[in-house]
Amino acid sequence: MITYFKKIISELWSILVGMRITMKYFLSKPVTVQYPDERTPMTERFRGMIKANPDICISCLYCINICPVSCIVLEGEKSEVPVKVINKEGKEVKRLKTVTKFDVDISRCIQCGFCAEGCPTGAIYLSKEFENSVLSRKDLIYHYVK
Amino acid sequence: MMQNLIIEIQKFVCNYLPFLNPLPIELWYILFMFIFGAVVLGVVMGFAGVASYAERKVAGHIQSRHGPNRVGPHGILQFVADGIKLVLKEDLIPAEADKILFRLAPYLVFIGCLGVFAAIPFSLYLGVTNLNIGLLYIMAISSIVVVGIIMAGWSSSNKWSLLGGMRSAAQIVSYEIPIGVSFLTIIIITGTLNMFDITNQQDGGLFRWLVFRYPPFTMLAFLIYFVASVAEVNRTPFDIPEAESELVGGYHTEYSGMRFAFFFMGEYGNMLAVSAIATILFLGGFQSPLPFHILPGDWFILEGLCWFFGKAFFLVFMQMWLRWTLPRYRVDQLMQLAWKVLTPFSFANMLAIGIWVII
Repeated sequence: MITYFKKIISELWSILVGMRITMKYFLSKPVTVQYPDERTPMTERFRGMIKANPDICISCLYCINICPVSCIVLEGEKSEVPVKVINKEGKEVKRLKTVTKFDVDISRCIQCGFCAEGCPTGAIYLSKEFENSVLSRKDLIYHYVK
Repeated sequence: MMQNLIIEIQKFVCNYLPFLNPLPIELWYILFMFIFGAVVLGVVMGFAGVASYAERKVAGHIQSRHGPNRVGPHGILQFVADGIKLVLKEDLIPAEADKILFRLAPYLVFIGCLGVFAAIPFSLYLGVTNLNIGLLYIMAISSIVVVGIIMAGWSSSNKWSLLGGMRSAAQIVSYEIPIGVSFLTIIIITGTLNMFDITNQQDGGLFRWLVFRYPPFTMLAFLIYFVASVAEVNRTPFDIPEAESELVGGYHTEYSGMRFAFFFMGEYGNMLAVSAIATILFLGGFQSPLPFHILPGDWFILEGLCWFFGKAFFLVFMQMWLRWTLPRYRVDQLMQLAWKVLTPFSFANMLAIGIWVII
């Protein structure tokens, strides 16, 4: 008989405790971030869509060879006048080739970042962009040399 | 009271429109029946819509979410969008279903909840009828809901629906007893079944409310009534008739479109009904918690309306709060609570109050 009353009181008490907790959450601010309207800050090492700058590319074809999914198509030809470009370390490099075709198929890209890591001039790099939905599939192939 | 009002309105209208004079007074009564019915229907349906929005908002905030916030400012028009969706949906009736009962069931559920409002005093002089057996009538008419639910469960010819309907019947019949006994304690104290009289006896401030008289017995009766009424309207933690994770949707698994909407409105209407009854019986109905009236004379009708709905909505909020706090009971735990806890407590409580009143 005593356990019966004890059980009832303990259960009522547990309900009150539970209701206190839910009321605390009810009065606190929601943690949901309303994504298109508000955004959380990006982390420093976020790997987004890869982008290229063909003007400083020296057509070494490193990125094509390292890419595990072969999403980069790069062609270059010998230029008449060598151009000096500045590489990642800040040194001047002679650019003997001009890029004639630089296509990146981001539908195949896995954003591993190998190309950007090895690129001697920093012509190919990972951006922080990730909203790259398009209406047709061929728009996913980016032509960096027009 | 209502008769006088109708006669006065008839006189007033006939003054300006004399060609309406030959109409018999009975016709006016019928007209006013429709008008009052429409007003109550509007209140209940509007409440069902707003409550469904409020429920989702409360659920969202309790779970640290936003809840609906896309349709209109803060998502306030969400229930309109839901209503349009339900109206436009295809009305499916299963091939194996018992067609007549299947069609009838949602109306019975809705009528059961709507009928309760006929005897509820919303404010001073403001109620559809002034029944001298109000409490008995409410007890009786709210039982129609069970019939509707069993009908829905049976006629769907779906095992989940049938299980849900049967569970609901067992649950509601069990919980009617503590509810009835808590009603009896109120009847012992007030000596009347008339809802207006019960409210008028609680006039004059917070401590005249029945919940604060005869402490702690009326408080216990209020607690018992509140717990049992949450079970009556099939809400969590007592929502085993429509337990989603066990029974798909319970008795309304096979319903879609507007028929489902009737069940839905019936559920939310019932929430308001039980809260309104609890307000009248224990929390003073439309009486103010202050010992004086803020608005003078007959303007108290407006003030009373605010007090009444304020209290009722607070109890509805309590039900939502409970829903998002507690997990669902098992069937045996539910029956144990009804028969081993609430029923003996309510009987002991009634006995104690009876003795106190006699002394």
